[in-house]
Amino acid sequence: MNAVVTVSRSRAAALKTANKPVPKPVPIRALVDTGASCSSVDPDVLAKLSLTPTGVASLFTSSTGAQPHDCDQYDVGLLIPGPPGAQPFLKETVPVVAASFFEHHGFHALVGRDVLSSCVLTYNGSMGWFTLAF
Amino acid sequence: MSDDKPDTVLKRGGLLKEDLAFYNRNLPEWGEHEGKYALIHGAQLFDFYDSYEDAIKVGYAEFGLTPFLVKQVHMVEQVQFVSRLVAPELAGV
Repeated sequence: MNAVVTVSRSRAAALKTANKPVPKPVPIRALVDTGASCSSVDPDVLAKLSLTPTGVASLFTSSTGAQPHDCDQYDVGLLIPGPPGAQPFLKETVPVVAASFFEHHGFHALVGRDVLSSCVLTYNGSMGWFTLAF
Repeated sequence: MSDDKPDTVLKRGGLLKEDLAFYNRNLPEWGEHEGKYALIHGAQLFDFYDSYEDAIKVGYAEFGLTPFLVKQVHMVEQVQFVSRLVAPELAGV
């Protein structure tokens, strides 16, 4: 699905206070992933937002072997557009880890259960669609 | 640590090393704050907050663009899990 990643509201305020430009929001393709307990964003997207880490998360993936690894965590804003005329889903400050995705996957972020916990996700497998209500 | 370098690249790798070491060192004494968010800067505890958003907000308000650590207090570290094959950016800690 389409989404937009921004600097968090608090970071935007700090940038303005420091007389530094606020990076433009970055439009991305995101994948809803109920198999992810946390959300993640491609490092290239985070670089466009000139972010520095504000956290460290212990992360276990199928690519990290048997042991979890400490990963930098970033505070971002996440916007998911709604249907025309409807309010978008907006989280002004959400923690994400930086994770690279294979280019051919065609997405730049995973929306994990930390964000989905604010939504109602309905998956209709027989019809081949899902809805995300917020 | 200063923030003098241009904000044009993703800066990572050990920025929070000292703050994380401080967290790990003091964690055994923070049992009463389980679930709250610790705001740490310069290897010193600033305060605990009920929400991630509040801790981040105060962090930027107090420390601006200099690195600070926000970490939820858990006596047993909560491991995040991503079942998909991804390549996480490992922290330099």
